[in-house]
Amino acid sequence: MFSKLFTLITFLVFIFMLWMVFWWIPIDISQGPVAKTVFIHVPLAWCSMVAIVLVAISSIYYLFNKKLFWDNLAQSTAEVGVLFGSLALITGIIWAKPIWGVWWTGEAKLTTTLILILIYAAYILFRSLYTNSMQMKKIAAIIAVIGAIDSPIIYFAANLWQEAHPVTVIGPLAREDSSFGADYGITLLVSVIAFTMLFVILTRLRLKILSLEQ
Amino acid sequence: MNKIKYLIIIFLAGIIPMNYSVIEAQQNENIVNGFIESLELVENQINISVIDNFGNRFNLNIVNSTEIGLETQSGERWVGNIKEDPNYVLELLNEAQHSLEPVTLTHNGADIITLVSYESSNIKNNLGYLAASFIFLSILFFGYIFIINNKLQILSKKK
Repeated sequence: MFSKLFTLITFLVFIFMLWMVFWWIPIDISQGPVAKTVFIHVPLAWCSMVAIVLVAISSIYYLFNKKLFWDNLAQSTAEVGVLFGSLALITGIIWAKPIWGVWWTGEAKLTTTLILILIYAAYILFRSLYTNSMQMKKIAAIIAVIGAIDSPIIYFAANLWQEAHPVTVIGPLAREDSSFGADYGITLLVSVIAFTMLFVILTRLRLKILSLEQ
Repeated sequence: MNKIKYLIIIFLAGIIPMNYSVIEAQQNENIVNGFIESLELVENQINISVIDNFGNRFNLNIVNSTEIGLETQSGERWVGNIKEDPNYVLELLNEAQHSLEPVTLTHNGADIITLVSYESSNIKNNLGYLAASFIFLSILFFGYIFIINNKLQILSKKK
């Protein structure tokens, strides 16, 4: 009952987010309609970061107490995290073309994100290629923890190297002069909530499949 | 699980060659986005000073080989180099400077390789890129939901 209600609320929040993105928010004067990609690119990147942190935490828990739940949580969040991270990268590539003039620049933020996705894609491949033994789970947990080192590098990359990717505009590293306007800020908040709810639903579904398989 | 494995392999096979080819094309080139601060025509080259969004100043030279793309006052695009008419190029750059038009340039050392100004006509017509993002998002999300839902149904039936 609760999961159905949660799915319904997520659906309604998504509809509301789409209305805000396409009808409520005005078109950006300097970038044009493509600037609205921010409302999918940033939430996707946020969810992939949350996923990586969750994978690392649950892997550490698994290494300490060997409870199967933590291993399942790590596996399911890694899979959903790779999906969200890949989409964040694809939407970023599409956004870069009309604004920067190139699909890809090879700068720090983009390259470290690609590396992170490749690490977790390798993590999923590793898990699917080897038998479901305790040793495999331990090695997978170690790969996940090592891979998570990349996530703070991604977060700080735009501020440290200052290349084509804009610096952080929300959070502790944000500069006062580069903050969003109120309407863009509210819409971004709604889209982050909508995508986070979708992330929870997908992770829960994946977790259910894993427990059924076992 | 097999379907997911194949999807990951297809994704990696697609993204790795694309990444390599583009990184190699960027070697020995630096990109600067900013505004023109000053201009000076000296013999056959234009000395230009550009300030980027972080306040860094770049003193560079527009030489004969520099490829230039600038928007004229009528909104048309002029493409060429200073060999053709240095004074006309200087005039267009002066217009870009006074209207605070953002410019993007690539340079190798002090010599500019390409210099382009903000293309307002293209910027306003980039709705297709936004649509492409949403289409990719929908395909991947619905594809993933379809796969895991299918799997869940099979497992539920087995139970």
